Amino acid sequence: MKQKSLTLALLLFTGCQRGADTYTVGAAGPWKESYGIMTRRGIDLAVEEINHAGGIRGAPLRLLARDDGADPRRAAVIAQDFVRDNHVLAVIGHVNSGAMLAAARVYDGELTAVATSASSPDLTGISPWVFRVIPSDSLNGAGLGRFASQIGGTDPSMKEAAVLYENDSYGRGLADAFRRNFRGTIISFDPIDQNPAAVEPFISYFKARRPGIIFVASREQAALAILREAKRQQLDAVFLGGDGWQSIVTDSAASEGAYVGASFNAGDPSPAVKRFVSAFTKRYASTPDAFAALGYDATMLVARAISKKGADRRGIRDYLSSLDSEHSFEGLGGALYFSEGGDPLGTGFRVARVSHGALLTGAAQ
Amino acid sequence: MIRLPAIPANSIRRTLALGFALLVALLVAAGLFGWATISGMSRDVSDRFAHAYELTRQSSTFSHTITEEVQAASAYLADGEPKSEAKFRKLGWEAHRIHRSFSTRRIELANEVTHSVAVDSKLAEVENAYALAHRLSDLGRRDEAEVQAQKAGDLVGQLLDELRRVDSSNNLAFASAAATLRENALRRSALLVAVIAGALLLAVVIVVRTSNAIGRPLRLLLKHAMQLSRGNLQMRTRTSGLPTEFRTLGEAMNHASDSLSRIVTGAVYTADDVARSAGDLASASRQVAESAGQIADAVGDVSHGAESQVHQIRNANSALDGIRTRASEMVAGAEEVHALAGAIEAEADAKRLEMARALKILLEVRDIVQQAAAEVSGLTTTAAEINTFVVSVSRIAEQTNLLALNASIEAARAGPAGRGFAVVAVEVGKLAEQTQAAADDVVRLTEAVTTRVTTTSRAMENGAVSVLEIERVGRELDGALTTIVAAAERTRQAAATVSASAEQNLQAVEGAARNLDMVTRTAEGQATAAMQVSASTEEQSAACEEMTSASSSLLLGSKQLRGLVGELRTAAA
Repeated sequence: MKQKSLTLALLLFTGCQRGADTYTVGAAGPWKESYGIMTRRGIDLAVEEINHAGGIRGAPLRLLARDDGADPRRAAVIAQDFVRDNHVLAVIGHVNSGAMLAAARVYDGELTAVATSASSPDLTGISPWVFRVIPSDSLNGAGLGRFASQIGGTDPSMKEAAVLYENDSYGRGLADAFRRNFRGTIISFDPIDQNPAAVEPFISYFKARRPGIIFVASREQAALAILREAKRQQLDAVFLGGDGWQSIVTDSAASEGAYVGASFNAGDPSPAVKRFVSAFTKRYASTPDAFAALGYDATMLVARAISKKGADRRGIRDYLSSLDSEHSFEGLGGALYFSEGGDPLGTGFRVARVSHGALLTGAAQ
Repeated sequence: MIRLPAIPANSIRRTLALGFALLVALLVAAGLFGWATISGMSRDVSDRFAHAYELTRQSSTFSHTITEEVQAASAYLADGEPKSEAKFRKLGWEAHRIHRSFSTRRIELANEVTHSVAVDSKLAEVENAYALAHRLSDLGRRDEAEVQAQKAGDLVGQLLDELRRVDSSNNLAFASAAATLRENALRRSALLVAVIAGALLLAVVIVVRTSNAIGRPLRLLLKHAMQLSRGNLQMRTRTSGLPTEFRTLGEAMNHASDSLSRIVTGAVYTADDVARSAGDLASASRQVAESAGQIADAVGDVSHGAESQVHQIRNANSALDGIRTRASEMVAGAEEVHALAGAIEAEADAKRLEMARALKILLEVRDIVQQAAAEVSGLTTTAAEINTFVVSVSRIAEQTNLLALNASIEAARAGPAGRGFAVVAVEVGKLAEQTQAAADDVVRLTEAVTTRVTTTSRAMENGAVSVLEIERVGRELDGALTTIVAAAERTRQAAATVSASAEQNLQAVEGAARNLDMVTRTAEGQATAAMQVSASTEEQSAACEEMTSASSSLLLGSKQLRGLVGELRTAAA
């Protein structure tokens, strides 16, 4: 009898859940920035693929995308809107560390957020409701620091590094991780704006001090400004950047020879990556980068959680935290599951070198 | 388990206990409420103050760190000491760390984030500006460095504005929190005052009620006691509505009054009764004395009557003896009847058997007669046949005679030849005449026989009828005999019953005789007793005289008692 009523209750429960006509997820990021566009493409491709295959439990997946412009203040407001909208079951994003840090405190206890490229170490453990598909910058920065320590062999000039960082959560986190892991002298450690008005003094300074290695913890805009100025002043140094540098390849002249620590490599021979790259290229006529791959992975992961738990905000969070090495989600970067602090385990960074407008995979971390 | 003594309802003790329990409960509630209010408020206040303190502390540390950081940045511009730059960088790192630590707490509204983020990004701008100024300074481009430093200084001003904005926002929050706290405190203290006021009001009510509950009954009971002391036994206190303790006391006093009243009334009545009884007793004693004489006479009569009673009883006894003898005889007679009935029955049975046998013989006789009658009838038929035969003979004789005549004529005609013949003819004629005569004789005889036979036949029929009659009588006789047998049987049974009854009668008579014997003896005893009574009555008469004198003195005493009791006022007075 009890068994029977339990079965009935389950039937009713699942019946009710099946009753949802659409499943809505939020997405937030700087959609006008180039990395934002790539992230959004990855997300949109995933949504299209899911709905093309019949949706989740027969209902289409709807995307409610909001532009936070990488601004933490906007991100917090958008997060509050998402929390208040009962239709939103989970959030894909935010894309930036600063935005995610600000929004995390709004999502806490209410709504699951799966950040894509927000890699600040400060995000680790910020809330049980916040996950990310990109490893922490401390991992990337540490990897790049160790890589930079070895790159020049015994050349004494290669034992000196200068660091520039965007003065925000992302830049500070990545730069700090690099500094801790670089076995050499850091001759300067300077903050810069996201869109620096003047990088010339820094390059001039580097030209005077001649450090062998220059690590720039920035995104595309600052990276290109610095690389172009260095090229202009004919600065002879090895440039390294984090995942924020992945799109610098668009300026093949300036970016030639730079090292980039990336979580995704379009040249990966795994069938999943091949299929993704082929679909992406077909859809957008461009090669996907890590931002696109992270957006795609985050969307697929959230869709999986909804298909398992239905329209249940807490159920989705519980599902994500229940993943482990044996029950993992197969993402493009490998088997994906989360640490206590919401950081991805099972995936890693690879250092790639820019060569003629393409990223060539270097040593695995 | 502790068994509490039962406290009756509406007792002062109960009222007091209840009232005080309620009072204590109310006070405890007020205390608890007050305690909860104060501790809740103090917790609230301490939470809010701890938060405010922490915020202020962090804010001031933050401001302080920023100030030092800016100073270090300026210092580096002035002296170019790497130490100053290291300090600048270290303090900058520290400032961001502090900012992060107080911005990771859980917040509700986006605008709080907004302020906090604005401070952080403004600080970043300041740092960036100084970093650029430092590198310019390092490159020896003093003017440009100066311009950047100036720019950084402006940004510091903006940063301080942002900080002030955060502070004022915090202050606003504190002010509103303080207002809420004050409101809470006011509301709770008002509630507390209300509860305490309620408790005081209750206390007053309890005191007034208790003093009323004690004072009023006390006054009533005092009045009652005064009345009692004045000898007024009719005073009663109304106990309904009084507290249990006073009700008990009032009831006890009422009981006392009742009991006293009853005793006094009883004493008055008793004295009256005693006086009356004494008078009655005196007159009664006199009457008794007179009666005693009469009784003595009467007892003499009784004694005489008893003797004659004995005599009569003896007569009755002898009469009973006669009855007993006759009853014995009746028993014997009944037994004889019984025997006789048995003999009759046996005899009737035997006769019945004989009768049956006679009937049987009779039936045989009837059959024989009927056979004989049949034979006789056959004879009649034979006589008829004889007659027919005789008629034939007679006709032959006539013809023979005619023939003889014809032969004589013929012989006459034949002359002397026919003389012989004429003689024969005459002879034949004569024979014919003789035959005729014989035939006539036969007819006559036959007729005689026929007549006789007819007579016999009739006699026979009559005989048969008689036999039938006899048979019928025989059967009736048989029925009668059967009835007799049955009657004899019944008689025998009746005789047996009579015999049993007679036996019982006899026993009854004997019992009566025995009883009569006892009665006789009793009557004799009575006669003796009557004589003794006669003697006692005389003695009683003497005692009555003594009683008369005693009752007179009793009468006197009771009158004196009546006088004494009459002085108390009672219902009987």
